[in-house]
Amino acid sequence: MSLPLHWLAARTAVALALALVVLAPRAGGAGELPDAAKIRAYVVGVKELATEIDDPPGDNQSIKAYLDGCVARATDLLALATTTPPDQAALLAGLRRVMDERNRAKDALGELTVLGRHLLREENHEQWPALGAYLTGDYLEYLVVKRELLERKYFEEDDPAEANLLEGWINGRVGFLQYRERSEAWYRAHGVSAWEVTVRTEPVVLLAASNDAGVLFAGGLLYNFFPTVAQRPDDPFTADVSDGFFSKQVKRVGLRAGAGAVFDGEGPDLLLGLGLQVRAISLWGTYQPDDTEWSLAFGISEWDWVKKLRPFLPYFGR
Amino acid sequence: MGKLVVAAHGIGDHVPDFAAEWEAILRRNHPHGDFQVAGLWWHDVLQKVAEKYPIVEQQFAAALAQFGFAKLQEVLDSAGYAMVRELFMDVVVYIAMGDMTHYIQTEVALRLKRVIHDAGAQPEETLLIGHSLGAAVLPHVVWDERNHIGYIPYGGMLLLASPLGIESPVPGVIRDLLGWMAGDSGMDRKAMLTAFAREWNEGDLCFLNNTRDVVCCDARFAIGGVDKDLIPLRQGFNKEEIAVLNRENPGSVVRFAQGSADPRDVVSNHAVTLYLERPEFQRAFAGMLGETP
Repeated sequence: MSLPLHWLAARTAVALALALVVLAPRAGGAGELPDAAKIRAYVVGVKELATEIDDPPGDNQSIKAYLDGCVARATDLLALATTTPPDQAALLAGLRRVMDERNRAKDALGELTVLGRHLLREENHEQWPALGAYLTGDYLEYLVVKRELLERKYFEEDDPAEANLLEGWINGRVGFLQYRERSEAWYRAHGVSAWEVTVRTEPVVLLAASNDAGVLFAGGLLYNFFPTVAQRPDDPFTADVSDGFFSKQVKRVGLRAGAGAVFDGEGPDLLLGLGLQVRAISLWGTYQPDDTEWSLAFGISEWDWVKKLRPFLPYFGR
Repeated sequence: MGKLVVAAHGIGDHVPDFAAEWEAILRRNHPHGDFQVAGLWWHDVLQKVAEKYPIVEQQFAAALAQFGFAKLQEVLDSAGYAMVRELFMDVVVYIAMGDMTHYIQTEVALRLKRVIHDAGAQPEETLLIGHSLGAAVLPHVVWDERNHIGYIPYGGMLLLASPLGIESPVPGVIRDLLGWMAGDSGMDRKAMLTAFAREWNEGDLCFLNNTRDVVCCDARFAIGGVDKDLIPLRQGFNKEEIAVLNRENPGSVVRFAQGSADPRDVVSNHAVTLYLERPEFQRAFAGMLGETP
């Protein structure tokens, strides 16, 4: 028995439509953006809410202005969604901008009447999620990338156990060192600063004939080489990390300055130093004011190494 | 499908299945409730940061001990230092070092998303319950999400013994937990609480505070026959802040008094089990589950 051609075509179309429905990601999946119909529905919904406010609005002036602002911003977004051909990058940027401006407007609302609070909740819970949910994938990507870069900067070092509270406080407080999401400075990757301050004690061995050992209390300003980080396409909770030569082999470089003591067998002498650090190793130019003596010194920002080097450090621990 | 209840622990030692104890209490008190419980374990993250940022470098102290200066190592190995580190350092590493706050918060946010994903639930069907520092991390996490998607998508939040009310005496040096939430927005404490309370539907936000608990209230203890506030900080929300929260979200601050004023009961007055067994908690939780009174 043969089937009519139009029946086969219809069946294929239905099957394809069903497959699309099943396979389509939920609103808010990575890369998906609201279409014009969703944005229009938001505009209509918010306009309806605004009609509940008397004219003149009296004590409801601020919520009226907020709702009108929401409508105006969404109307601009609608214009982006209806351009031909559609520009997805511009639409995503537009949606982020609308969300930011809307957040700021919400935060600045001041005291509201009972009606005002009701209308705000309606807009916030019943209308906005139809658009805001499309930023969920964007938010997850931000989390994954941010976490990976902070992990790389602070935990995937050669000497992660050598930090201290003071160092953590400085890196979290000083502007050019701390994380700043919105900053696009050249030394930042997704808001994470490549610069880092270290404040540590460190063993050094003088590269002079005596090979005297010493300890320096040193501050350093280091630059971290970051890999390229993105979200893994097959696992949205995990980062896809691509290392280059510098991020894999060099990791971090910087300058250091310190003061401490050198043990030359006749008690400790003051030792000053300026150093260049690569990863956990520093090469120091040191000066002993008592002996007016300059020397090169080798340091490792890792106290475990001292145990290994002890046989070669003539005065340490005696 | 019922609600997903995500539980976030506070400071101290916690095993990955810590939420089993919470679930047992919730099931006993809400035998007909349609919910599943998942633990948001983040003890390892706090430990990782606390170990990286000790007050003194551990390796430095060990090296000094090797070379004959053992005193510092003895202090670091003492039970007193261990207790201080366990309780005090968890809080310090979370609030004192901005980038570590970001790191911990981001890790917790990712774990929350994964817990919900693995449970096959939606955020709208998810109730968040935090205790102690967990009741500060959760508001931080959801506020950051709100700043990125424009709204808080979760179904409800119960904060037990939240230290969110603690006011930093030196905000220029260490931001308090509310100041951290406000970030660079310029909002003061009251504005921040107003904005946060408005994000939730009425009945979907509840701060539950024991007035005998030093973490969330300025509890006074009997010492030598005199009532004293043991901590020279303001830990709890003040009257104006409570009024703001209750105005914006009626019933969102619930206070009760349980436990003695004996300083030896500081820990038991803060116990999560005390909070979970309270009738005030059960009422708020039942409301969020949609149970009829």
